[in-house]
Formats: sequence, C-alpha cells, structure tokens
Amino acid sequence: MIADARFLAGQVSSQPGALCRKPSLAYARAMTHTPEDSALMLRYGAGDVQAFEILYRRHNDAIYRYLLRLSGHRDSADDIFQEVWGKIIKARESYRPTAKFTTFLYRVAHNCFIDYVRQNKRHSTSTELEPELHSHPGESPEAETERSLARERLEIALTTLPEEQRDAFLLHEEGGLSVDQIAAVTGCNRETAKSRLRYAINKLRSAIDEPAERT
Amino acid sequence: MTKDMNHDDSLVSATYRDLATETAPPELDRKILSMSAGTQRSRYGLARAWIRPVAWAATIGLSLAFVLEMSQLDDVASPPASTEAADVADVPGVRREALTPARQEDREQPPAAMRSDAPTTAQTNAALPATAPDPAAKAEAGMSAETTSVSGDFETADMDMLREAEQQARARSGSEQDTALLDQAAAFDAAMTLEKKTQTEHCSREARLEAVTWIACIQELRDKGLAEAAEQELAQLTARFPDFEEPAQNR
Repeated sequence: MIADARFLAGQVSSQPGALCRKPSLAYARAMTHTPEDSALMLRYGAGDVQAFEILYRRHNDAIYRYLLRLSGHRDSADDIFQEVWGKIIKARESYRPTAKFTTFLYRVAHNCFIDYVRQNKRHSTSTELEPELHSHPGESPEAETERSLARERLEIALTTLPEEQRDAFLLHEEGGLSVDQIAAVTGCNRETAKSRLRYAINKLRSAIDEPAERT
Repeated sequence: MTKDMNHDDSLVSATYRDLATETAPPELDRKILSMSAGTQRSRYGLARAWIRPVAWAATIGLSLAFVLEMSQLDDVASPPASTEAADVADVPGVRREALTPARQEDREQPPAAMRSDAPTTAQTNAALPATAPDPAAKAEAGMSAETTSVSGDFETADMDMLREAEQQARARSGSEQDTALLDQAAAFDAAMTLEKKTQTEHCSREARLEAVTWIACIQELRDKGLAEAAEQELAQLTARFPDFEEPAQNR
C-alpha cells in the first residue's frame, strides 16, 4: 500500500491537469492532487478515461496477487483478473460511492473467483506457483537464507490454508481491508471474518517459526 | 492477546510482503486499458444507440408501405373494382369513354373513309372490314348495333379468346402463374360485360353515321325509358346534322 501510495503520488504529480479536468464533480473539486478511488470512478463514469487509468494502476497489482494466491494458477488468475476489470468497466455508470471503493473492488474480485470455481469444477486448490527468490544487498548469507526459507514456508502454508482463511488473509494483506470490510466482501458476519483472519495469521506464523515440524 | 496478534500480524505481513512481489502482466494491462477506452468511445458514439431502433422503425415502415401498396394494386385488379366501375357507368350522364379512355380511343379511330364530314352508306360499306355484316341489315336493325358493329365483333372475338385462354389455364395444374392468368381473365371478362351493358344506353357508331338511323336509335332509347341518354344523343345529332329536323311523330 505504501508503494501504491508512492506510485499514486508520482502519477498525480506527473499529470496534474488530467486529474483536475472535471472540476464540476464534487469529489474532484475537493481533491485536486490525490483523488479518492470513488472520485476517480465517478469521473470515469462521466467519461474521463484518464481517471480509470489512475484507478487501475493503483489497484491492478494487488488485485492480481490476490487472485493469483487465491486461485494458485496464473492462467486462472489472468482470466479472473480480466473478468473483474471488465465488470468494473461495465459498472462505471451505475456505480454509487455508498462504500469504500476498495471494498467494492474486492467484492467483485471475490465473486468473480467464486463464479470461476463454480464454472470450472476441475479447478484444484493445488498451487503451481514457484516462489521467487529475492536478494537483499548488504545482508549476510545466513540472514538471506533464513529470509528465503521463511518465504518458502509462508508460501507453502498459504496453499495449505482453508480457502476462507486464505481469502480473509489475502483481503487483509493485499486490499488492506479491515475485519468489517472482509465480512462485507465475503458475505459473513464480523466475528466469522475476524476468526478466519486470526486463524490464518496464527497458522502462517506457526509455519514461519516452526519449520522443523512442517518439514 | 491483541499485542501478540499484532506482533504475529506484522511478522507475517512483512514476510508476505517479501514474498508477494508479482505484478499484473503488461499485456493484461494493455488489454484492460484499451477495453476501458474502447467502451468509453462507444459510450460517446450516441449514434450507435440510435442506429438499431431507427433501423427497425425504417424496416417496419417500409414493409407496411409495401404491403399497403400491394393491397391497393390487388384491389384495382380484382373484379370488385370492375363492379364499382359498372355502378358508375350506370349513372346517367357518365360516358363510358371516361371510364376506359385508352380502349375507347382505340375503337374510336374510324377508317379514313369514315372520317369525312358527310359520310355515305357506300363509303361506310367500303370501309368496313370483310367480317362486318351487311350494312343494309344494320340499317334495318337500327339499334342492334351493339351486336353487329365492328367493335361488337371485336369484343365477341376477344371474349372468346379470353374464355379459351381461361379454360386452358384451368386445365393446367394450379400453379401460381395460372392463378394469376385466371384472375386477369376474370377481370377482363367483367370489364367486357360492363362495356356491353353501357353500350345499350347509347347509340352505336354505325347508327350515328346517318341521321335517319341515329334518330331511330334515339327513339328506341326513349322507348326504353332512357330519356336523358336520348336527349344527349339528340343534342349530338343536332350538332352534327344542323339541317336535320326531328320528325314530328318522334317528339
């Protein structure tokens, strides 16, 4: 999210004119430099394609990772990703900022994933993702190895999580959603969402700390 | 508990952030951005929204106009229209020429010998076709011109030909062409009947060649009770033969 914010700041500073093109909108008038997602979506509904591009750049990677970790397959993630943004584009005129845009976006993504699983009965929960290795310059080889192992254990633990818990964790991590928002997206009550998220984090933490038991 | 939870959360989050570095494929980015721009363009293409309804309306309108036109054509060609024309012809004072101008004009073209201002019986005889009956007999008959005139013969032959064609068409299997031919034959038959009927209300061309035969025809019209037609014929006779005086017995 921090990276996204930095990216957004870069976008805004590079294209100030594009963001202030429609001052007639109440949302845009109030936010000249960092428009909210809802304002961007409203502007897109009013015909501002640039607003959609900003909105897309702000959320595309997080949504992609959410779908990638949730489905465990790149092809599936690609298909659902297109479906999600297609629905967002179609909903541009009927969109009303009754809730946070991120909640709306991840609800669409969640529903698209559920639909995809229902339509593709053979969809398996097994993952085909290969963990990418990232080196941190200046770090000792031992620390680098430990970090790599932790990533690998987390990756494996994520795939073994129940789908509801994995969903809750990914919504929390990628979307930055609160427990209430996770409940709204997944269609369960607050306590259930909180419980799922807590169980997921505990399991993942255990997997990171106790590699010997898992292996 | 909350503190532990937050600690677990931050550690897991940091590890996850370290792990999850995937980005959306650039080709997907391009596809979605072009999709958004494409739909936006189509949204502003307001003409697109109107093309379909306007096309439907135009198609329905043209179809209705075509059907209406075709039904009107059918009405003109069908026998009921001929009956209507017959009704009009029955009205006194309405000339048959007005109903069928082209055909009448064809028939009204007399031979060169008959166009002289004072035609004689001999000239008339010479001008008549070989198939025409004896003019003397015609003079005797006076008002029977409709059965003895040239046009009457032509009509009889024409009717015979039509009936023969009708029979031939009926003999064939009922294809659409035959049906159309039968319809045309029936329509023409009705027109011929109408012409024959209207002829009885006027003097024939043969009777009008001479004043004597013409006045005899007029008298016969009077006897039939067609006083108005007789008066019209008398007016034409007076105009054509100014010196002729109607016999006192006829008045």
